Amino acid sequence: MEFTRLIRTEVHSLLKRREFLIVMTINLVWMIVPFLMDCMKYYQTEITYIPPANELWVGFHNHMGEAYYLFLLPLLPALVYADTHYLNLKTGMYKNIYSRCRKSTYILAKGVVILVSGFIIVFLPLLLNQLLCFLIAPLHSTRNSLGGWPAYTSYPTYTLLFESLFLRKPYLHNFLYMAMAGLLGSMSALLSYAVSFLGGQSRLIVVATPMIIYVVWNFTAAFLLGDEYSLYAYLFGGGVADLMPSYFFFCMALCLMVCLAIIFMKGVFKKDELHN
Amino acid sequence: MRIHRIHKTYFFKLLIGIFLAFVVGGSVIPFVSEKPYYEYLFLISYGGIRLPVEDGWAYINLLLDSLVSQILLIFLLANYMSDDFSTCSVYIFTRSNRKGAWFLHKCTDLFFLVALYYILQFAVLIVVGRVLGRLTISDPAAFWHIILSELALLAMFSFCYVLTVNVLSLKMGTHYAYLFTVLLAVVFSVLPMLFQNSTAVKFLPFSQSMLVWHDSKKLALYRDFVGSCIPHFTILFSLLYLIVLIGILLLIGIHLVNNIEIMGSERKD
Repeated sequence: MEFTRLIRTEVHSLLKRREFLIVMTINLVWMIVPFLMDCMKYYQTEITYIPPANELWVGFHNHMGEAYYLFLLPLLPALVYADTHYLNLKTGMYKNIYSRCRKSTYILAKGVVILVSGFIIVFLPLLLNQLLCFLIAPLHSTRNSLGGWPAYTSYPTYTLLFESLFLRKPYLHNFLYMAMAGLLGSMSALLSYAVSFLGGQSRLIVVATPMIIYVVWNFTAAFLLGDEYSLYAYLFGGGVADLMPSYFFFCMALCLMVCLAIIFMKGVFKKDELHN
Repeated sequence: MRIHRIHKTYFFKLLIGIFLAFVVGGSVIPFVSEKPYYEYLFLISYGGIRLPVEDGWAYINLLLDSLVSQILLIFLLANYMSDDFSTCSVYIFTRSNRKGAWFLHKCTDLFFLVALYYILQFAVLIVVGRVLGRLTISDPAAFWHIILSELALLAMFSFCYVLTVNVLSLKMGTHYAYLFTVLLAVVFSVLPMLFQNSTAVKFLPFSQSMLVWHDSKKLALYRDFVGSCIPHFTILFSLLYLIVLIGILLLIGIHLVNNIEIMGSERKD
């Protein structure tokens, strides 16, 4: 019961938080601008030349989408709610909270809300962009239906991570990519939350650490190991050759384990000055 | 004198950038195996990407190649002014009312740190080139032209971001300032793709840091390797552009610092 009550309280404070509104606005603007640019690009274009809505989606092959996946994706979810524990520690608010509920329950409830907030803040704007694409593009472009596949294009489908799904259910394919991006957003927020337990650092470090790790790892992997080891390559619907789905999910699972280990060791099981 | 004034932790922080130089150097060496000269190594590592930027993956490489280093630098130096201001502004400004002078001192320190960040990376690249690729200098005049131009353009352009994040952090807190500056950097990097077939590209801030896009006689020998340039887009134009940009940021910063309330500026983060 206490866990449910805490979840409700945390969700309430998440929705009221200024950072949530700012980040959601930035995300929505970032998703609406490419849509408006597509509107201008395809205005008065013959319907047969307009690509299907699934390929017009920002996560498929779009420069603004690529910039979003490369840099903003790990930063924005971490800003939404993940730094609240750090602020509670810094301001001393945690004493008021821990004296009213069990510390472990509070930490876990906050972790769940942070995880979900990271997912929603990425998933919903991507979904909105896909829905907007339906307004200006056909579900299945007649240009590309000659091959008998609903989503068939001249696009080299062999580079796609889920090629079969793309060919049979293109919108489910995009939905899966939105969920994968949302998953990365969740992990980014959780990592930021875990960093706040390490103590002694500034708010900037708490918020920006996931982004710096993600960006530097992508940079290193792209230059030294190959694109298939960069996490961003798994987020574009456009695809890169030789991708391994297990690698992406392994990285996510590893991140989850590391975050949980930090949260449990430094948060749940650690005795504080209120513990007696 | 200036070195003593800067906190040692910032020097150590800048050493992280060396790692990026190792990665870039290690990955680029195979591409210069046919022409084993430092000029090619520096042009491909820090000179920017080939024009026209049409291929999607070339664009992603552009983002990785240029933005990662800048975003890391912004992160490392984002706290530089706000740390000082939030911890001891009351002591400083109750003894002296010259807030503008304090701000300019901080700016010179920051420029020194930004330049040092790239100098360290260039030094590492020279060592990597020598050890891994046995590289030599083919034309000393062209070599120094490339090195100094790249250093000046990158340092001044990155300084604009660092100055922005520091000025904003005094007003809105470091985390918002960092978000805003990263957004600015990403938007600036997207713009060349949107204006790629237009001469307006040379007026975009991001283009100023791309040495290979500049129209320079010294780079004519390397055009087959680094791609074409934007006509009449000179290095002098970029330097003047960046000086004006930095001047505007300094004026905004001085105005902001002069009007900031020091009593309410204790650390919010």
